Amino acid sequence: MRIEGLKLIHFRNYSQLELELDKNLNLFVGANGQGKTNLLEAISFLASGSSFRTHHESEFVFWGKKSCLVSGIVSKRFGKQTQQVCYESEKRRKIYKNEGVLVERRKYLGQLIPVLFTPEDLTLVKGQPQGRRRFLDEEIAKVSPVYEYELGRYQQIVKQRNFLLKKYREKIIGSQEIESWNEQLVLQAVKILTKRMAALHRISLLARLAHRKLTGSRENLDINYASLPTHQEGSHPEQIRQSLLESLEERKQEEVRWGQTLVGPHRDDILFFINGKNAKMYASQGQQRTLVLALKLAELEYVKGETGEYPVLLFDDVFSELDESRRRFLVETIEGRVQTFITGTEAERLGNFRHAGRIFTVSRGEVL
Amino acid sequence: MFYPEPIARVIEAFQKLPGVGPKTAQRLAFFVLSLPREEVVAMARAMVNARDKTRYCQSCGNFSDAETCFVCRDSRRDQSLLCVVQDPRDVLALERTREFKGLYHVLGGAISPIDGVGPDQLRIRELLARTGGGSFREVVLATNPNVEGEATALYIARILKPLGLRVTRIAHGLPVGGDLEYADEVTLSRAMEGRREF
Ligand SMILES: Nc1ncnc2c1ncn2[C@@H]1O[C@H](COP(=O)(O)OP(=O)(O)OP(=O)(O)O)[C@@H](O)[C@H]1O
Ligand SMILES: [Mg+2]
Ligand SMILES: [Zn+2]
Repeated sequence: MRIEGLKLIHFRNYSQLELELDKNLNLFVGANGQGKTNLLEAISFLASGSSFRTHHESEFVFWGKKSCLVSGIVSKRFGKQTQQVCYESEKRRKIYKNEGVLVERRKYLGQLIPVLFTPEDLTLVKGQPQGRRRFLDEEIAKVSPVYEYELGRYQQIVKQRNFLLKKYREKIIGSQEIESWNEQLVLQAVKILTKRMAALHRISLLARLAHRKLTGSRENLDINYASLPTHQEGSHPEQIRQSLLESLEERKQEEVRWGQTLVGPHRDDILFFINGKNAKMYASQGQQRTLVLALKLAELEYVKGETGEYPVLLFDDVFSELDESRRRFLVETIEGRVQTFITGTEAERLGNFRHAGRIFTVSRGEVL
Repeated sequence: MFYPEPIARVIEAFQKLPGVGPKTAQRLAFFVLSLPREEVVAMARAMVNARDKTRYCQSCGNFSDAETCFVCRDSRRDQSLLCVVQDPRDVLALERTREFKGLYHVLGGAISPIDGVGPDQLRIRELLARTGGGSFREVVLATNPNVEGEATALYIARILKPLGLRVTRIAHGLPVGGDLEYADEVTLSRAMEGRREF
């Protein structure tokens, strides 16, 4: 998929902007604070009505204005279409349209899929498990329209159940009530777990391949889903269900003591191993960067495998931080296949691409 | 903004209505103030009257104008089939279909710990008493398909099944008349999960 044209109205520091984009490579170059990241944010807003930078939509709206709009012409194998999102800050609502016709968010999502690489992604390896779970959940949501709904349902069950555990601790209710929630918790947990394990399995194979190439076969990357020991890719759902139930039974006292649901996919983690060593403990800065890059390249292939089309790739700042050989490998992998958007402060360090693509100079909310 | 006390109280009262925020409450209050006195009196009376006259069926918990509701009074209904719903409005919805010939049991909500609603806040004890007599052959659980409705159905199933009752759950499937291609993904995937032998 490719974005052929982009239009912004009152989005961040852009009052009004219309861009014709290159189908392969677009470089946004400019000094700090000029609006480069804002452009990538506009693309993710166009894709899903949300942003990688904030959950406060009002920040999108140009200071003093009441609404913002991003629209884009997106072309795919089977034709192209204009899609747009508008956010109205007073009514706090988003309006999604295809070809000018109002559509529900659920139907809108998934038409444009971005894969994003920002400096924050470098904390993925050593940061909190939550960040790694989010990474995986977002990947699945990009290709599975139902996943967001199922995950929301799971989180609601956990929230209700935690509340109940606290009440039980204060002896306001009996244990029978908790048990009737267990059934639903486990049922929904199995759905999330099977999706996560299947997706991570695919992503890990793809990432290992990319990682091997990036390191000249010197390093071997393994990615594991860390959950109950019985949960493996390929485990039968019934088997997962049983072990979850057993584990809930085992940790009953502990759960009541903490007033928290301690069993289930919301407690799981993703582990990375480089040549058998846990990357969370031992990976150097450079190794982490390579690992995350391999993951991003795996994402591209994963989306392609699931949807039949490559997503668009957004690189915020990180590109210029990669060393020469990694940059070359990256360019070879994506050039001509994946439409790429790169931001940076200097044009020359971005110039590994054979086809120059289009270089835009970003200055104070204007693009030249 | 500060309003004179009587107006402020009307605004406050409107804000208790579901889906009404401060802004809408203000608009409604000023609208009411602009009406002729008789109309305001008629409105207020209608509300009080409805509140006083509406009773709940002693047997099933449905809206009723007498001790028992029109469904429970109807002897032609299948006395061995019971449908459990959350709300009297669900009874009306099911009645519109004219397909269900059994009796109802209205719970008055769904289990939701966050909102302080547990089994004791619902008419579950009454349900047990009703089904304990052995006159029912099947209990259909027709609570909402959301997390809370599902929890309620699971809770009830757990206590009714040991009594030897046949407990069923209504299917959540595709809207009829809608083409498959227009159904949203969630409905479709859930309908796929609930598929049955054909
Ligand atoms: N809602 C808004 N209205 C107007 N201007 C805004 C709004 N939100 C952010 N800005 C401005 O946008 C600029 C930030 O833009 P952006 O984050 O895209 O910078 P950048 O070019 O990526 O810089 P860097 O190289 O430092 O990452 C800031 O100057 C900020 O004041
Ligand atoms: Mg930036
Ligand atoms: Zn009745």
